[in-house]
Amino acid sequence: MFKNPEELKNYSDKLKSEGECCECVQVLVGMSSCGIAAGAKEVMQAIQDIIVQRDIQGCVQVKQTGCVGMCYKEPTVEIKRGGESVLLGPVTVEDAENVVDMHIGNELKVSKYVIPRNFKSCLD
Amino acid sequence: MIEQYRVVLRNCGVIDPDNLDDYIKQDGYQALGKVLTEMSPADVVDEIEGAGLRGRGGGGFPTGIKWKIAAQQENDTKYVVCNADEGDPGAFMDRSVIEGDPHSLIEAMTIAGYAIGASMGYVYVRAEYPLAIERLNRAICKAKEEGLLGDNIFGTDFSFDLQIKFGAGAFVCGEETSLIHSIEGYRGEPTTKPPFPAVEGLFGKPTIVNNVETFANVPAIILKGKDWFRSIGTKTSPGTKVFALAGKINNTGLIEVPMGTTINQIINEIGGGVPNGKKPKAIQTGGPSGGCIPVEYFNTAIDYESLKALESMMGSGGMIVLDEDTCIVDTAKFYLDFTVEESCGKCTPCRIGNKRLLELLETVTNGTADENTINDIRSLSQVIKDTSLCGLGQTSPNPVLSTLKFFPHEYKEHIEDKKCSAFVCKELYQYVINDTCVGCTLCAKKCPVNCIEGDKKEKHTIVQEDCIKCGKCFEVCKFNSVDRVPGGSNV
Repeated sequence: MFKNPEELKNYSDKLKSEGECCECVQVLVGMSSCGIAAGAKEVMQAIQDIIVQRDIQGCVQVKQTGCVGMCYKEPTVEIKRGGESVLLGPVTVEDAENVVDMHIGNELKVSKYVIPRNFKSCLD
Repeated sequence: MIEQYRVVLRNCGVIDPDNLDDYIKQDGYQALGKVLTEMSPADVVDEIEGAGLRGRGGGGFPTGIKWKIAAQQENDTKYVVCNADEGDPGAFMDRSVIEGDPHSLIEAMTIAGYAIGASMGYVYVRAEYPLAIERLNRAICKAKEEGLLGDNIFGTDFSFDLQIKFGAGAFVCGEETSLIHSIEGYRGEPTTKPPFPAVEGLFGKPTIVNNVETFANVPAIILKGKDWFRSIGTKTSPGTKVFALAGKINNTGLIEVPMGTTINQIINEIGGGVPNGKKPKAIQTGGPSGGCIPVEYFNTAIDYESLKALESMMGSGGMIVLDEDTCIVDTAKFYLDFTVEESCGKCTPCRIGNKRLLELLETVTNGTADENTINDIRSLSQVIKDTSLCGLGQTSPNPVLSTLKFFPHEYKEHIEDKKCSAFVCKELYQYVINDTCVGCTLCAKKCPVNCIEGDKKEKHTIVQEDCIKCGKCFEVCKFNSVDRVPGGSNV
């Protein structure tokens, strides 16, 4: 319950300051109707399963997100680590293992899955 | 290389829509905090008016002026309505915003409520968007739990509540008066304006109706200021616009670019051009109310005015790319067919006029049109535009008029030469088998209606009366023995 805007601001600053430690990896799977139609639910499950198999769940968080607008590359997966990020797609269930090993296991920034990011946000 | 700039889609694909913390981390609800503690309602209206934000649902009416009119009404009950009844073929930005960033809509509607003096808001969303409804519902509950929506927001004496209303899928309900009647529980039929909803709207009370994309701009404007917003886009149309790229284009999807970006930049640099090495012919913008812009005008910088000057309109931002294999007359017919389906039937020009206009277009595509047809189409279109009750009817002939203006040769070709060079209009071409046929029987085997005759190792023939023009024989023949030639039953 936020009693005033200062409380909200403080909470927002706190969220910004914790979060990104340089070892933690965030995996964002595009899960709007478009992504789900392209199989994002299954892909998210597959990625989670492989992360458990590789026993790296301690430092990896898999999350859903909205649509980045790239219908032609759905399902899309974004991998974030220490302020850097790489956008991947299309990632199918069969690709999940590859993606985890190449992009989460290593810090590989180049692979056949990488989509060049051609947008800036007003929040950057 | 042009880069997209995301204001409306700033959180889409960045945050988890079901996680309020994610939104707060992106400065979420801080605009609301600022508005409630540092600004008067009049300041908020001035800020939005000063930013020059215009309605992103299509019409481009200045949002600030709409808010100002509603704010000036003396009434103890007012309403904020969000139009999320996205119905244009090929447009899906509203769905994406609600699915990817529901809290920004809640925050913006609450700000609007404070600005005009409303304590109740409705989101009118299509029932065909179950995921959007589910996420928006969860977001509303969460916001209420945290005191960001509901009674005494942030401990102030301002209260605002939100309710979701489901649209049953009628295109006309995207028109604001129809939408209002639909929320009230009546048939979704339009009424004349004035009175405008800002004066007398939902349940007879002053009401603002804004599109999802318009609302999504509001928190950013409040936080970053009107001057920042004015620095993006063009002088008359500040800010960005989200387009849904569809049709014959490589990179389909949602894009957001500053107003003033040219069509070429969007199609070639962001959209990655037309697939299979084909040439683009035109783009269709504005859905069934818009028009087709030919390739010669692709260096046009897009804003509300420039599209209007090209007989099209911004609409909600659907942008469908047509390539050289598209028949323009058939495209116009497609959109008119849509309008005829979706006309509510209340006024005669729209109900009967559009039906008759569609029949005239059908004579063009089936080869029975004569020299008077074009004139008939023009005059009937003008009558429909001038006399229809609501926006749906007033704009329904636009796809026909704009294609008549920019592609008169295609109409002429259909009417005078009885020919469709794109080979789309089935009555104006036929498949024939030429002398190179070796009688392999493949086409006869694949023909779904068994209309190809001929003995093995003999030249085959197509029985034209039975042919459904599916093109299967043309596709499967390995010897290029099937030709597509002008001609047909009415030719």
